[in-house]
Amino acid sequence: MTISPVGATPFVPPTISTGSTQATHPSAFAESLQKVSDLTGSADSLAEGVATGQLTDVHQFTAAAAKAQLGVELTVAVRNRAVEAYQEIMRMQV
Amino acid sequence: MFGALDAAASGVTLGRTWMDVISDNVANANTVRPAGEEPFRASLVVAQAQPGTDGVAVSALVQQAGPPDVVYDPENPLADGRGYVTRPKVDLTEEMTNMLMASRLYQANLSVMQQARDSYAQALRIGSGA
Repeated sequence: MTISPVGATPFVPPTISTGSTQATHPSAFAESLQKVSDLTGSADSLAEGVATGQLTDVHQFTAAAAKAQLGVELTVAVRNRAVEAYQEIMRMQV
Repeated sequence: MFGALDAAASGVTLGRTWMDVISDNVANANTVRPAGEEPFRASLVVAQAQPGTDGVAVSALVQQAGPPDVVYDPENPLADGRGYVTRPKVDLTEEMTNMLMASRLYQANLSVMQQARDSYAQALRIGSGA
């Protein structure tokens, strides 16, 4: 059995994708914020329906309001973690 | 996002629709018509799982089948020449039993919504020290 020398296999440098296929952090964050904004928007329109008496299913509004509230709470939680991490780094001794 | 809330909300909608239909059936339990005319028939709600998404939807309203219930009631102003009228096809016992199930369905789905909402809120408190 012949063993091919090491040098025979040419070195192929790994290709590094230059973004655009994966969502970067800021755009993902903006997308999530847009979703939360949509949730609050739908809760607002359903609240109008309740006030004008056009909504037959009252629970649709309360469900949308609960989802909007959870979405805002989630946004605030993420923001608090980010600020905490930033402050922790700024306190680091140099 | 929040799929459990959406699925439970569709269940609450089904419960509400079912209660509406039962209410209509019971309200018309004495809707008499002249003999030979089509009687008032109780509506039945057909539930169907929503393909592709979570939750349930009302797929159709089916009319109660069976031959018309013609009774002799000459005092009735709607009676025909021979004194016969058509009674509605509504079984009050069945309707009230269904009403129990419909209201329990409504409450069960509301309970699921409450639990899911509490669970999501708890998840947001992971690691916050409180």
